[in-house]
Amino acid sequence: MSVADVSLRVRWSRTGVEGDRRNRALLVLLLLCGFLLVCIWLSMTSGAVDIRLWEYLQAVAGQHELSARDQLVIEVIRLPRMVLGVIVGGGLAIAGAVMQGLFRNPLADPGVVGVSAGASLGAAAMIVLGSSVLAPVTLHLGIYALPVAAFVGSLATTFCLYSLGRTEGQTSVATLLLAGIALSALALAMVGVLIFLADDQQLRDLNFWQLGSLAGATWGKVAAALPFVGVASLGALLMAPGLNSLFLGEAAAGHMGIHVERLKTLSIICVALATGACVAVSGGIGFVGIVVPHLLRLVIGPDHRYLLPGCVLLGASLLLLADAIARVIVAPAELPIGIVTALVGAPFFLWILLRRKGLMAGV
Amino acid sequence: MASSTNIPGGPHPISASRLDVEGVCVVIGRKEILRQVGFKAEAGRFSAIIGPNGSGKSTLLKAIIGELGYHGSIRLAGRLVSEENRRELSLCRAVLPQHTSVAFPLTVHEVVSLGRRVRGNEGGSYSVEDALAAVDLNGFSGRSYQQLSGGEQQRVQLARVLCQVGAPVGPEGPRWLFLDEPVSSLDIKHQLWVMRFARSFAEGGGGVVAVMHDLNLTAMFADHVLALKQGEARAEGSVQQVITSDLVSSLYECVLPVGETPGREMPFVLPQVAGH
Ligand SMILES: Nc1ncnc2c1ncn2[C@@H]1O[C@H](COP(=O)(O)OP(=O)(O)OP(=O)(O)O)[C@@H](O)[C@H]1O
Ligand SMILES: [Mg+2]
Repeated sequence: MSVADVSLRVRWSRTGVEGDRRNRALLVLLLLCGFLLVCIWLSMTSGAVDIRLWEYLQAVAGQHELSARDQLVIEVIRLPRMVLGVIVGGGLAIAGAVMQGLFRNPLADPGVVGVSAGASLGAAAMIVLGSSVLAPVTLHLGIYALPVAAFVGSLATTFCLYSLGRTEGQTSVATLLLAGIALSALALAMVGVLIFLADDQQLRDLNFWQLGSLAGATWGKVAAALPFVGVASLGALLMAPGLNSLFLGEAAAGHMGIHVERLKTLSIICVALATGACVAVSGGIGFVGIVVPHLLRLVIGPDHRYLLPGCVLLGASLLLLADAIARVIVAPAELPIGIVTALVGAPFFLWILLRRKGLMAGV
Repeated sequence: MASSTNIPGGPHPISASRLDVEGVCVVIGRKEILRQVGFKAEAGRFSAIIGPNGSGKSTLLKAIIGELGYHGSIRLAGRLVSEENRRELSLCRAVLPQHTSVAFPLTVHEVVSLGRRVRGNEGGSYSVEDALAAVDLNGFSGRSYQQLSGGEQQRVQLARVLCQVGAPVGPEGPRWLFLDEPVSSLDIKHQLWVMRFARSFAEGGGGVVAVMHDLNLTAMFADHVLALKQGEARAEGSVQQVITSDLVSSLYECVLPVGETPGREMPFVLPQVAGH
């Protein structure tokens, strides 16, 4: 328990009130902005082709000539990939934080409890059936067909989970995780059925969901994901005070003037929007939603007004970092980023679980 | 103290400053937990609800604060308690539950701030430091809430509730405190501390409704008592009317002689002389 508790007692500044971590949170947010810039720079410069970002910036300003190849690598490959990484990293982290606030449980994460699997099912259904049964949907929604389908899938799973996982305003960790396992298994089995039905091209498209990757990022994917993640993040930020009241339970939040039912519905929609869009464009990148909020809570505390923007910044940064590692570590080939996040995230998840074991006896 | 300072009808005879509970029934599953319970509380008075374990005290309080569905009528200051006026209600009444769990590792300061945010900086509100001082927790604001003792946690929650409710009377009228067993996990010093505070809130014109187990503290501080048993109201009235040997003995099903302090009309119960 050490980090959190020591930091709780440390008086942050001589002027600040003891126990009030808002000043520290603001400072950390500022530092995270700087960290994000560093990660953006790393993401733009690492990879098979050596790119000098500074020269590119000069070229944009008209003071320097860039080779056509470099220009192409930056504008068609690196830039959309970086932007998509920011959107997906921020989206996954904020979805995790909102879900944990809603369930009042630091282990609730869309990836762990099956919401991502639900989104994959929606997306897979759209890929395989998009040209036959679901053709009218594809026709009407265009590039948004895939994220919308993933959104519907994640919404359905979140909703199931919420109805299953809660009794009298409390979530039991056991029920939550078990329900998540069952829902995941069900969704993945149905994806299996779809794989059975798929033709070769569809199989190649589907394959990419198994591990999660930012490879193949295009401006089209950016355009498809951005509105969903943007709306979800804005909505989540607006709900931050309400989510804070939920710290004390649904009943207490109600007595503090929060419309709890409305808050729950809106949070579920936000989680589903962000998860759906992220899964639709990048497959199942796991553990971002659990590691990022947890790390931030250790440093700035659980206050959602600072936690949520922090999640966007840190989630984006860490995903860019993971992506850069995935590209460099086995160059010129590239590791799926889902493997990198799982390699780091899964032990982290176990660590949280072990640390909480004492606290959770009987939960 | 209780009987001498407060006449029914009290110092704030605003007709809307009342809590009226009429014919309330609560059914959970197939079990009827409350049957036709009526209860009247007024601002400027300390009202207590007593009764044995499982008699429905918490259930009645939950119905009154809108946490449970019920049949019958409950009006606070003339308004029906419902989901629609949550925000309005949160500004004129605050609730201390029997038990509160906090989901993440918050500091004491952050827990109390949650209550403070409801009212903002509007006049008559407490600062976090003042609220902590009011429950005798000076210097606790940097502590981790989850590492406090049970009694300390309960007092932090009370400080949060104070921040939410602010002054006993606001421009819109009297404000209310609903407390479910506010002192049951406190030591004797802080029992008296908290009861005196609640009492002064009532004397300042606010309404206080508290579920109580300690009959002596009830007799010392309450103006008005409702006795519940098996989901029914057995008696309602002043301390002298309700805390009598007959009533208390039948309420708790053991022989409990009630004594009286000389000169003052404050009944007391000594468990030492209880029979079977
Ligand atoms: N959700 C519920 N489902 C079924 N029965 C319930 C529920 N809540 C309360 N009860 C029952 O209703 C009765 C009254 O409960 P309540 O909590 O109101 O008692 P209480 O008077 O507050 O007791 P205590 O002094 O122990 O706090 C009890 O018999 C209890 O078992
Ligand atoms: Mg009770």
